[in-house]
Amino acid sequence: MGAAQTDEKAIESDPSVIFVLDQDLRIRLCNGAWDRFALENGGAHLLRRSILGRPIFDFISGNLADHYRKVFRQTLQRDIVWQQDYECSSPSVLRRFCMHVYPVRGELLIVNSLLVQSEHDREVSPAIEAHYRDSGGILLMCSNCRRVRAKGPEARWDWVPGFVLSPPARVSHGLCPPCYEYYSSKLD
Amino acid sequence: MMSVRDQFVGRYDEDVPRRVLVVDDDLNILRLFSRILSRGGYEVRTEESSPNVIRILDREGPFDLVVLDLCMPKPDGFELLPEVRSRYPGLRILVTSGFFGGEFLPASELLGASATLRKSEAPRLLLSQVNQLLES
Repeated sequence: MGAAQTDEKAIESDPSVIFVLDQDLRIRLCNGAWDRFALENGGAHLLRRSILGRPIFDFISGNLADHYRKVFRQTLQRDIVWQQDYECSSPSVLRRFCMHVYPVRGELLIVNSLLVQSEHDREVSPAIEAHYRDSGGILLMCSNCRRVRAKGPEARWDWVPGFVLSPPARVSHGLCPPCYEYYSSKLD
Repeated sequence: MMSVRDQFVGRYDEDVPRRVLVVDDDLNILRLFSRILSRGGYEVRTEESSPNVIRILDREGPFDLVVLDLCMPKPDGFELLPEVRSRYPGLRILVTSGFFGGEFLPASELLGASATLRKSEAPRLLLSQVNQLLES
């Protein structure tokens, strides 16, 4: 999508979640798909009437904020299109998106296209379970995002749908590093 | 036995910070809860090893309130709660649990919890709930 296509009517009716950031990185425009996605995913407080005019970084913090500050700055400065794939799943639905960030007349047009949407695999095999339980048989789950910590030195945190859909036995709830950082930053 | 509050009622003035012991097996929870409560004016002692809890209460007390995780390696909150309650009848105990421990929270009140809090709500509600418990 190029500058010629940034017609607001076209954006409004596009099925992809689209928003526009002004040069101060405030949300200038969101389309109808934004509101639909918010409502379908428990984000009624994030409907566009509540967020228009606000800085995008009111809604992004921690490592993600650092990442997107860099992306937005470079996209504006270099006048190039930037793109990444990412996952934004719910407990029952796996969703992968492709995000394009287009510099358009000093603003940023951000388009999130759905690539994949499918039911999660609900079964957790013993091998998967063993990969996440510690030597005492405890499963550590983030009390905010519900990812679980994998065994191993890198201490990776993974989203395992089966652990979210049905309560696993012997689970301890903590906070993964990004969620700790998120809440901690609110106290600064 | 006199309650901790009864024994140390003279301590409750504006200049003396109230003491809270936070018990959880996750270091990030301890760090976050400690920051929240410290900012609220409390003196906070954290402990990640549940076998140490009784010793800490006995030797480092008095504490005005304990924030106790329900699901931990042994002894877990279910085991600690009746013991702490029997030794310190007047101590406020706020029991926390995660998503899948949430259904156990009402049971913890039967075992002696003064109040309960889901961890997912704790960043938002911990300080107000502790304040409320210590004002009651």
